[in-house]
Amino acid sequence: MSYKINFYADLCVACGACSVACMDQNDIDTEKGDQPYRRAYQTDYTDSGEKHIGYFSASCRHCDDAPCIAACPSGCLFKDPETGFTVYDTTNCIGCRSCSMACPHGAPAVASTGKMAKCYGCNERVKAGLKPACVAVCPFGALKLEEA
Amino acid sequence: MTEQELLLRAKLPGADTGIEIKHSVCDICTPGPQCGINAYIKDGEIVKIEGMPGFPGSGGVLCTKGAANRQYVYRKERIKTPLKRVGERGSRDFVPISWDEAYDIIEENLSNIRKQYGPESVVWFTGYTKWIRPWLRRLCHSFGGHNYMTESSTCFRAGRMANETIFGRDARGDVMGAPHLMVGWGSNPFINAYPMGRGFVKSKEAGTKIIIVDVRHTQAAEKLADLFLQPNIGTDAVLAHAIANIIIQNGWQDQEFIDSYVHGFDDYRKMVSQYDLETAEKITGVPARDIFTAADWIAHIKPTQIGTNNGIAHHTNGFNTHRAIMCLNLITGNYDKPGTTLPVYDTFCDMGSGFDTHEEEFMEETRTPKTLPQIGEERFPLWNLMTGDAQAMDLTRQLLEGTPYKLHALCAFGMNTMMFPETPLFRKALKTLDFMMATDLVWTDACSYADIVLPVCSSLERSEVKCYPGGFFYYTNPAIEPLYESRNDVEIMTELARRLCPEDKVLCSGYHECIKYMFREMTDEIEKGHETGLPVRSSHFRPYIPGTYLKNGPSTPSGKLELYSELIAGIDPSYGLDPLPSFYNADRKSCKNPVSADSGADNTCIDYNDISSPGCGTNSSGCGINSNLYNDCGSFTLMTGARLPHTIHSRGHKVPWLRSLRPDPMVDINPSDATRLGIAQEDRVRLFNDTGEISVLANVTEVANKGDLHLIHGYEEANATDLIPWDHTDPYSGFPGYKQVRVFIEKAD
Repeated sequence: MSYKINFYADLCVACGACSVACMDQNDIDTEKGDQPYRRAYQTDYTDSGEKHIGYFSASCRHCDDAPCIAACPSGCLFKDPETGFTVYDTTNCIGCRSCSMACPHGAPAVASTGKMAKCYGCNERVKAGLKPACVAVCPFGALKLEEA
Repeated sequence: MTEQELLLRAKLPGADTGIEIKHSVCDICTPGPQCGINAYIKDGEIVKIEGMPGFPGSGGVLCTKGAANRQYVYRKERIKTPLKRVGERGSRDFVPISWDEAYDIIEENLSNIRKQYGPESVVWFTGYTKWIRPWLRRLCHSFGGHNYMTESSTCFRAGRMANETIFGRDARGDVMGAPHLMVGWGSNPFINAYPMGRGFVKSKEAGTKIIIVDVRHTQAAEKLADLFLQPNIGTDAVLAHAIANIIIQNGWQDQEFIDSYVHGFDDYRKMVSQYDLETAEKITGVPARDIFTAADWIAHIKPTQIGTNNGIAHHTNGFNTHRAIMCLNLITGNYDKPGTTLPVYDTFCDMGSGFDTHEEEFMEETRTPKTLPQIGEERFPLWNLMTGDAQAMDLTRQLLEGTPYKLHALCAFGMNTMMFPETPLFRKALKTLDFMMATDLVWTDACSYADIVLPVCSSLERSEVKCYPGGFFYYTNPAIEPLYESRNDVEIMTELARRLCPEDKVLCSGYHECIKYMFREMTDEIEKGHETGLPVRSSHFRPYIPGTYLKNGPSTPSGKLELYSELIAGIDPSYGLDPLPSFYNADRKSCKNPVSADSGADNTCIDYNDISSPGCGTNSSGCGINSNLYNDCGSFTLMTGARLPHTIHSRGHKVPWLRSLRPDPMVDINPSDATRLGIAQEDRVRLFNDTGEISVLANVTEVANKGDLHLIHGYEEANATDLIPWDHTDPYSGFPGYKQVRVFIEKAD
């Protein structure tokens, strides 16, 4: 079975609860400049001459044919066949940022540890039948764990 | 990574990881949602927080702030031990002492001051959190005093008072009753009260039409509104009156309901008749056709629920504005029917849950007759009459002036100095005290002014009772031991009671016994609920049946729903309080630019109270807002307190995870204003007026209307209330005009 964390923009208000739940789940040290693996954004835009505010939450898309996997010279990134999430073991990561540059969404980043870090779909939680932290917290159901 | 490392990283509860789940409650915002928490505990430490599935109201999710509870609990600024001041008042020069020594010092000082100057010279203040209020109120009374005051002097209480003058009780919207139209006036329920936001979303999905009225272009405006009205700041009452006027002019009012249940219709009709569409458009900036549509919908769609939130009352005309909005329910007959506005019956700690407790008796039975006026009583008589409490917004003045009598001691349980307008003046006022004690979770500015500081614990480290709509109560158990030497606030109050008023056996008996005293008809349920540590629906729950209250006669002086408040009519006329919810301009009349005043430039604004005034037009330095009645002197209207999702008051600003979502204090400014002033995104700007000055970054966004600025409060390095004069207050409620302050903005060098 393969999963995706799908985002429903209509339901999002960019409150950032997803980001904070990710920080809590993954012990993100923001004081060292590290970023959560999912971030919320609010932005002005115009549609048919009308002014609007847009709200988004973005993270790794866990692409089927993930370019980051191919780009990594150390073979850190791979697919978990059980969940379909793009996961990693950074033991051999050299912090070269090839993955970041290959990703169309800029999802992988090099953390203060010098190693790559990104969303891994809360892989073990999902395998245990739980939702990813960001999905579990979302007050408005804008993030959903769904079968791909 | 090994399998074990992966499970630990995932923080999966179980024997493998040694992680267990304990139930608790989030008390960062209060007292509304207060969501159930599953705390993941390993070796006595919280390693992760999640919502508690199936919890009443929250349904298992958390908001941005709640998700940060782990960092909130383990903050670096936690106070570790009781502390005694050794340096200057206002400095951070303190030394650790034992609890016994701290209690001895407090007892000695308060006993002496009571003996020498009387019990009224001691002030009892409580800010956040609110779970301790019944205890502190009783302690103040048992001590012999009446100067109990809370942060509700600036929060929700004015709105409740306004509702009480109209309906005789507080009011709430009946979302469950399937309204066909919901009017969210000043409501952005997605932020800070997401269960309410979800109620709106559900209603919309079921086909309910929604009108959102807000001075900001909010999430609610974007996601919910079938009709969005964005009035100029402080003109909401004009909008409400214009809507009423259209309804009455067209004969769309519910005359049968008015004849049966409403008091003061003729006076009200005359008052609103001044607000024709043209006048209203000019003052509010809302297009006349939108005002008409709103009136049409409100008059013809039934049932309609017209509600508003706390922000409306945070103007110096806020009390009447709140009344003006809620009066629309009366003329359209939208009250005490399913899907309309219903009366509120409190259960416990300002929460109506559908069963009764003896909270009021607990708080009031040791109150003695007053011999002196309470703080604020001489300036805000309606506040004292309706709440029975002192009004904290007169504390600065009474401390400094010493009239009508001098205050000598302050016991501050969770005081935020930045709540007090013109905060530097408040700090100066605190220096006049002979003795001050402060309790808090973390070090705050107020602690610096205390003689004794006591460390209190968070909601995850204590046991407490919460009540929820639908008949639920929840008696928590601690998820972890109190950190350091911290204790819970009620423990402290109990010890103070034992030392200062030992004759009050109930108060001296401690939290659990007091709960049993207040919930005396349901002690078995309470004990059982405490044992399980899970939310319980009480067998005493009796859902309210709409129509009951009106049938028995509203508890107002006239026995009817009051457009004309007989309670306000009974206040000494010299205070100039209008029994009708009339509009007056809440802008400060003068807006002297402290910089250009020296150059002799004319910065005087016109008196907007005269609604027939043509206005002075948009001058060369003006902001060019639609309604040229406003912002015509180069200044802007600052609205402080515009909420961000990741903080409530100052509570998120120093939690690193939350702070990382917006690292710098930022003021929202409309793109056209920013362009005109040469201000770009994240430019540093100065906000200033003749009261104060702060420095923040610019956030250029259409969220802000032209001529308006929005800034969240509570930043120590950019305190929004530094810009608000101490006496910029609503004469009805005493509330500060947080949401309408005249300031100047310029790009910093």
